[in-house]
Amino acid sequence: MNNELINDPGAAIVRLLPENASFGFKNGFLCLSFNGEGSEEYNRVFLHRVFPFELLWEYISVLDADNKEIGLIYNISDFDDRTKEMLKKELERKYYSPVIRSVDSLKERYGFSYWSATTTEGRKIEFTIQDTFRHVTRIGEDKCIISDVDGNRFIIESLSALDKKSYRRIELYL
Amino acid sequence: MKGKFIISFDFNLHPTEANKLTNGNLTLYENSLIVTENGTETHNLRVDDIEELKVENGVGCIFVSYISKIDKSVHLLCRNDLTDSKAIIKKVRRINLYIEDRCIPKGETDYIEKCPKCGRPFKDGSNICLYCSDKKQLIKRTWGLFLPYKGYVFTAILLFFFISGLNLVLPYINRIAVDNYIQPKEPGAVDISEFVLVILSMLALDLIIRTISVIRTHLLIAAGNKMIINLRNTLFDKVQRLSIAKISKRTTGDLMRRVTGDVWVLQNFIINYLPGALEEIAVLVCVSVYLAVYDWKLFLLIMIPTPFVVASFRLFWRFMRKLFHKRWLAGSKANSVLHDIFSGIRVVKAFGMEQKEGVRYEKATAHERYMQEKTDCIWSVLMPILRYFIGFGEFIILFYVGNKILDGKMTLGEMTQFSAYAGMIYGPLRMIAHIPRHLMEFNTSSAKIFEILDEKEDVANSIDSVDIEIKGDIDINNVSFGYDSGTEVLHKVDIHIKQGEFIGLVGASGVGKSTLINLIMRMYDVEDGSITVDGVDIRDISQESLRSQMGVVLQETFLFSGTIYQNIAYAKPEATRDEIIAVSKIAGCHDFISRLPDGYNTRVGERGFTLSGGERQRVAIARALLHNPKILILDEATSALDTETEKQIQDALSRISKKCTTIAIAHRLSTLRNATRLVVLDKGRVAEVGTHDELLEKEGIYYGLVMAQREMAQM
Repeated sequence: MNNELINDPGAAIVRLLPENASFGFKNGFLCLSFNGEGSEEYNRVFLHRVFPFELLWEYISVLDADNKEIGLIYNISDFDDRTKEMLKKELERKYYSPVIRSVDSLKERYGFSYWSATTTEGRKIEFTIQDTFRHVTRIGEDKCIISDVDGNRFIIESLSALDKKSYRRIELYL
Repeated sequence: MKGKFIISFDFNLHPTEANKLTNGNLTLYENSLIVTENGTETHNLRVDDIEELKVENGVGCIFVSYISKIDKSVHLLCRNDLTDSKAIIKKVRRINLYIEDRCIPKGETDYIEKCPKCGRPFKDGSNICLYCSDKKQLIKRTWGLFLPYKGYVFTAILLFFFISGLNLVLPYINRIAVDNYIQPKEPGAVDISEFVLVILSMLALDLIIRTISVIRTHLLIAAGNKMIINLRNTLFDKVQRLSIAKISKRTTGDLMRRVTGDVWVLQNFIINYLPGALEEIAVLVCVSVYLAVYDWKLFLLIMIPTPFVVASFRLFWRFMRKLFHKRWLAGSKANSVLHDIFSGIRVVKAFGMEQKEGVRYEKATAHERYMQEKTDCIWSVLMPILRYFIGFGEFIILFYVGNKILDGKMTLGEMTQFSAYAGMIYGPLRMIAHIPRHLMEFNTSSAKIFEILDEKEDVANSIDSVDIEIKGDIDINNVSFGYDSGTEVLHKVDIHIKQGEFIGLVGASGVGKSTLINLIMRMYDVEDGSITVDGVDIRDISQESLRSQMGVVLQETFLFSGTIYQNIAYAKPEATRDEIIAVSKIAGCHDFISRLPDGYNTRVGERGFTLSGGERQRVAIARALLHNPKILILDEATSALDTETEKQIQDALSRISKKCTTIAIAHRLSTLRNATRLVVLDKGRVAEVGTHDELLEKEGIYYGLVMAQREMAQM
C-alpha cells in the first residue's frame, strides 16, 4: 500500500491511546470508556489479536458487543503499567494456549497421534491430533502451533530450545 | 430451597486468571444455579433472576456467562478449554430451555464425547474409540463379510496347505537326484532312465504346484472382489441413509476415503497380501515341523537367527518408513506448490510473479531431490548389510552340515535338501516382519468402515412412519434447534402456514432462515417443539414420501455431470419432453437452453459446458418444479438473476404457488413482493409477521431493511 492510500478516509483507523481510551473491569469483563470522536461508555469490549501468530501484544482490535471495531491498539505498551497488565490478562484469558516445554511421548495410531507433553508451568498434558501434518503449523523458523481434535491450541515457543528427544519426536511433522 | 437436581457440568479453567486451572462445577437445581470452584461456592443464583446463559468462544477456550433478569447485565460464570466444550454447549442450551419453561426439555440427553473405557475423546463425529476397538472382533466381523463365499475361501485354504506340502517334497526329490544319481555311493551303477524319470517328476511336481497356485489365487481373488464390491455398495447405501447432521460432521473427502480408500486397504490386504502371507506361514509351519522331527539340532541352528532376523527387519523398516515418509512429504509439498501455481496461473501472470514462483518451485524440488538422494543412499548401504547378516544363519548351517558330511553322517543330497528348507524358513520370516504393520493398517481401515456401518441413523424413518398425500399446511410449533458447534440457532419459533400460502422468510445473515428450511425438509430433527405437515408430525412421515412432494432450490445450485435434460429430469426421469420444456419455460431457462448448440442435450457439470450462476439457478428451479411439488422451498433461488428475469420468474412462480405452499428466503426484498405473508427472523426468534404493507406500517426490522435497500437502489 502506498502512502496516498493510507491517507484515504476509507482506510482510517481509530487508534486507541491513553488519551482517548481508558480500560477497566466490570462483572468480570473488560470495559472501555472511549473519549475519541463520539465518546462512549462500553460496558463490555472484546480484544482480538489481528496477527495472533506473530504479534501477541501489538495490533489489538477492540470490538464492541456487536463485533464492531471501536479502535485498534497498536501496542499495549502505549498504555500505563496497570492498563497494560489488564489488557495482557484479558488477552491471555481469551487466547488460552498452553506453552509446551517438552514432548514426553508421541504415538501414532489409527491415523491419530497421541501426545503427552509438559507445559512451561510443569503441568503434564495429553492431547490427540488427527491428520498430524496439517495440525502442526510452523510459524517462522522457530515457533510452532499445534491444534488438537477439539480445537485446543498448544504452542512451542522455540523449537531450537526443545530437548533433543522432544525435537526428534516431532521432527517428522515440522 | 434449591430443589431437585436438573443438570450439571464441570469446568477446568479459572474464569478470570488467564492460565490458572481450577476444579469447577456448575449445577442447575430446580430453583437455583450454583457454581463452585475447588469446593468453594462462587455463585449461588436464583433461577428466577436469570434471563439466560450464554456461551462465548475464546480461542482455545469457551466462556459461560449469564444475563441477569434484573438489570440485563452480563456476568461471567466459568471458563473451560475446548476438550469438553461440545457437551457444555449442549448442556447450556438445555439449561436455557429449562429456565424459560421450568420443565425438563425432551430430546437428546446423550452428551458422551469420550470413550467410557479409556477416557479418550471420540474423534471426528465418531462414536467408537479406535484406541479401544476390539481387534479380534474386527477380524471376526471382516470374516463375517466372507461368509457368503466361504466355499471359495475354505477351498483356497486347503490348497494352501496342499501346496506347502508339495513344496516340501521338491527338495526331497532333489536329494534323491543328488545322492542316488549325481553322486551315488557306488559310481557306475546309475540307471540313466531312472535319473530322467526323477528329473521329469520334479518338473511335473513343479507344474502341479504352479497350477494349483493359480487356482488358489483365482479363488481368493474372486471371493475378495465379490466381498469388496458388496462392502462398498453397503457402505455407499449407508452413507446415503445418514442424516445431513451426521454427514456434515465429516468432510466429503473423509467419506470418499472411507468408501474408496479404506475399502481399498481391505481389498489390498485380502487380495494382494493375505494369500502370500498365508502361503508363507503354511510353508513355515510345514518346514519347521518336518525339520524338528528329522533333526532337532539342525532345526534349532536354523531357528537361532530367527528373532534377530525379525527384529532387525522391523527396526530397519521403522527407520526407513520415517525416511520414506519424509521423502513422500517433500514430494507432495513440491506437488502442491506446482498445483498452487498452475491453478492460479492467471494471477501469477497478471502480477508478473513468474520468476518468484519459479524460485519457490525450485526450492521445493531441491528439497525433494535431497530427501530422495538421502533415502536412496541409506537404502543402498543398509539393505546389503542386513542381507549379509541374515545370510549368516545359512553359513552356520553350512558349517554344521559340512562337518556332518565330513564325518560321513550326512550325504550331499541331504545337505541340498536342508539348505532349501533353510531358505524356505528365512523367506517367510522377512515377510512376517511386516505383518504387524499390514495388520494395523487393516484394523484401522476396517474399524473406520464398521464405524460407518454401525452409525445410528438419527433421522431414520420411525417404525410406524406413514406415506401421506401432502396438501400443504405446515405448522412449526415452538421449535428450538442448535447445531453441535454453536449456540442455539432457532428459539421457540412458532409459525403456522396454510396450504397455498407464499411465505417470505426475511432477516439478516445467520438468523436461522436456512436452518428453518432444513428442519422443514427434515435434514435435521428439531431439538424441542415439532413441525407438522397437514397435522402429521414430519418425524412420522416417511422421508421418501415427504421429500418426493417437496421441490427445493438451494443456495448452492449443484448440477450433476450429465445433460441439462438429465439434470432437470433428475427427480422424475420418466418426464416427457413437453413437461421438461414447460417447467423450463416457467423457470425462464428454455430460451437460453434452446439457443445452446446442443440445446437440452448440452453437457453440464464436471468437464461440461459452464453455465453462469443465473443459468444454473434457473435450471435448478425447473428441476424443482418438474415433479409438481406440494411444498416449494426457495433458498435464495433467484439471487444471481438480474431484476427483470427475476420478476418474470417470480410472477410465474406466484401463479404456481397458488397450488402449492411456497417458502422463500431472499435478501433482495423485491423477490418476496408476491408473498402472502412475511416472517422476519431476528437472532433465531420470530420478530415480525405480516404482509409487506403491514410490516412497513409497523416500522420495525422489516421497515429498516426495506429502507436500507431503497437507499442502495437510489445510488
